Formats: sequence, structure tokens, C-alpha cells
Amino acid sequence: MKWIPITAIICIVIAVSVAAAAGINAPIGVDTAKEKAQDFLNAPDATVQYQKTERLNQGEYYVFGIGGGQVYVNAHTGAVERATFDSARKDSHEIRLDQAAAEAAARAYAEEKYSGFAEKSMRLIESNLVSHGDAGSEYLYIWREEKNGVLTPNTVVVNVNPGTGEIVSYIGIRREIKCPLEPALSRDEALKVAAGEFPGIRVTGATADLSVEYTRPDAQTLTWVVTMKGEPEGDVLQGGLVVIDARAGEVLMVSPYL
Amino acid sequence: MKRWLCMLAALFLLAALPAAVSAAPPAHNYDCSDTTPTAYDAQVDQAAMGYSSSSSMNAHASTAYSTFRSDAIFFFNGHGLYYDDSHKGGGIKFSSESWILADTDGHYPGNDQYYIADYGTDIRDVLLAVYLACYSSHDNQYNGDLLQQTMNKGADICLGFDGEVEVENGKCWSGNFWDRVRNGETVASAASNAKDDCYWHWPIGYWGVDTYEISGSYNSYLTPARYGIY
Repeated sequence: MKWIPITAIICIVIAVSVAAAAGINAPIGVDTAKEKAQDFLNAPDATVQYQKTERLNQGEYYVFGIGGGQVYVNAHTGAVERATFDSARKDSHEIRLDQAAAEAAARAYAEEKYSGFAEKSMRLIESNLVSHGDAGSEYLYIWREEKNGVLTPNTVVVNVNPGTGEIVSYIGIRREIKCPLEPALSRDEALKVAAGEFPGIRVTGATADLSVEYTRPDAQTLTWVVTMKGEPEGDVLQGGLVVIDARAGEVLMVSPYL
Repeated sequence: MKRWLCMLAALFLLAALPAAVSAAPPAHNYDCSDTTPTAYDAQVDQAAMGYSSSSSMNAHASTAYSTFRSDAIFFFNGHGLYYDDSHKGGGIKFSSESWILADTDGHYPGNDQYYIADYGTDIRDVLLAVYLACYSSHDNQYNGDLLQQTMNKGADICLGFDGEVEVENGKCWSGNFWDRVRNGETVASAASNAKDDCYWHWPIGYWGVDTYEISGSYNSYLTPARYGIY
């Protein structure tokens, strides 16, 4: 009869383990997410209004309005992965910050808000002053993590108001890489596949980057992201964007230029 | 007597209803490449804001040029003019090689051309024109500047792109832009936030939607539904 308490204990242990495992992936709930948003804003009393829950390929988000802006909190990790500050767009017509000062502001913000920014191999892949016409301008900084020559989904984007130095928007995604990083398709093979999607164009330039993308919900895929530009025909630019599964060789997206 | 009065009041209300419906400012939306269903989606969002909106695929430029005169909102998603690297922008392409162009200085793309410069005061009622196309906000010395010319003719707000935009990210930007203005964001906020909506869709990146440019009253809301100011 000794086996009865032993079996019961084993059952309890299994049940607790399963519950704990499930808890890892359970949504944190709106109230906890709201606190995370307030922490991110360094304003525990900030008015944060729940708007919606949004499900995207790379994750599920609780979206909060912050009175002239939004904060996206990852529903499972609690990390704030996006924030926009509409009021920070004011006075962005006059360029008072030079490129170096703007980059320093963007980098400082990234280091403060993105856990592990300094330790990761984050490469600055784009830094531009972008004009939006009468709506002003913004400095745009994009970092992507690079591993073995592959761009991962770990990315930080910071937009800075060139007039005031205020942060206009932030995106910071941090994920564990779960897919193999060795392509079966070479760069040349990827370019050949992409060229096949735009038959007859006279190619004037092409780029190809290995990139881990969330092509389906919660599923990472190693891809070749190819841009192919051709000479215009009929007064229209030829070519476009092609995404290829770098291991299976399957074309996942063909998106011609408008 | 009361019954008669009630019937009379009901008749008046019924008679007034079509007038009220037709008074809603019109919005026309055009998908002119593999860009469906962005025009329809825009139509739905505009209708929710109180516009009398419609959408079409592969319209001829003559149709769009003609209805532009009565529009409060005009939205185009399709190809932009790209003659060569030094001469791009200034035009949007409709079906049957027909174009709406800002102006001309000797280059006549396609079979039929319609010029914004030829409008008199016809489009002064336009509240917002959105040209979602490659280099639609770029000044082309052959065919002019679409945004500037549209503004010169009296539109309140005009939005275009000064870069290479492709179909999928264009769809992403459009869907999010119209959804955001419908939910009460200004044109400038919606344009900017829509670009960030696209950044984290695969493949990661802006892919040209960050090159949007706005002319005019960029901090305006599209609600309440109305015409532009003239």
C-alpha cells in the first residue's frame, strides 16, 4: 500500500512542473503590463490607458495609449518593445543637432532601454536624417544584431527630433535565436532565384542579406532578403524585394517596386 | 390630426435622408498595381469616418482626374513615374498606360496624360491627397512635383514618398495609416506610426515607407468628415 502516497507525490510533482512550464508562456496580464509601461516611461504615476491586444508574428502585445503616444508591451516577457511620443515631433523643422550629437542621444537611449545592448553584437546599419516635408525631419538610427554574418531579429530603432533632441519613437526587439544560421543556398544562388522572379529586367544593382525573420507566428526562418533593381521600362522602376527561405530555397515573398 | 402630422414629419425625414447621405464628402481610392485590397480597406476606414467613399482597381487616369474635382480625399496606390535615375517623380500610373502628372516639360509617358497643372480651382476642396508610389513626392524637372502642384491648386494636405516603395510594405503602410487616422490620429502621427508598424513586419526594415513627405496642414485630423478649406 506504500505505492499510493508515492504515486500521489509523483503526480503532484508532475502537475506542479507542468503548471510552472505553462506559466513561463502565460500572458502577464494587462495590469502587470501597465506597470511595465510606467517603469519604461520612468513615471510610475503616468496615465497609461489600455487600448488593445495585438498579435504579430514576432509576438503578442498589450498596446497602451500614453496621451499622445503609444507603448507596446510584450504580453509574455513584459518587455516594452515599442514606444512612440507624438508630442516629441514638435519643432523638428530646424536642424539644431548635428549627426554626432543625435547618434549619441540615440545610443544612450538604446543602452538605457534595451537590455544587453552593449553586450550584444549590435551593428549600426542605418543612420539618416530623413525629411518629412512640412511635417519636419527626424534622425533615424537602426541597429541589428549580427551573428555569423546573419542579421537576427534583435534590433533597435531610435528616431530623434533634430531640433530638440527628444526621442520620437523607439523599437527594441530581443529574441533567442532558435533557427540554424547556416544557409543551404549561397548568395549567388539566392540572387539567381530572385532574378527569376523578375524575368526580362536589366539588373542595375542588387543586395542580398541573410536574415532571421518571423515569416509565420512565432516561427523563425533563415532567409535571404534580396533587393533587385532594374532599368525602368515604360517609365516604371523594375525589380523589387524577394525573400527566400535560405535553407529550403522556397520563395516566400515577391514584392515589386511601385 | 396627430396621425397626419406624424406621417408628414416622417415623410420630411425620409425626403431629407438622401440629401444627408449625399452631403457626405466623397473619397475615391485607387489600386493600380498588385496593391489590392488597400483601396477597399481605405474606403472602409473613410466610410467609418463619415466620408462617402468608394474604391476601384485599375481605373483609367481620366476617371480619377475627373472625380478628383469633387473629392475631399483622394488615395492612389500604384506605380510612380521613373524615367531614369535623374528624372523620377511627378506622376502616377493608371490603367492602359494613362497617367496623372504634375506638369510637363517635354516628356509624355504612356498613351494618355492628365495634368494637375491644368486644373483651375477644381481641386481646391480637397482635404487630403495620398500618392502611395515610388518617388511620388520627388521633384522631376520633366514632369514637376506632384505634392507641390496639388498644394498649389488648393489641396489642404498632400502626402507622397521620396524613395523606392514596394508593394507589400506599401500595403502595410496603407492599412495602418488609414486605420490610425480613423482611430483619431493626425495625418502626421498616422504616417509616422504606420511606418513603424511596417518596420517589424517581415522582412524587418522600413523598405522606403520612412521616406514619406507631407505638405500642408500635417497636424490635421480627418474627422469630422469634411472638405478642405478654400
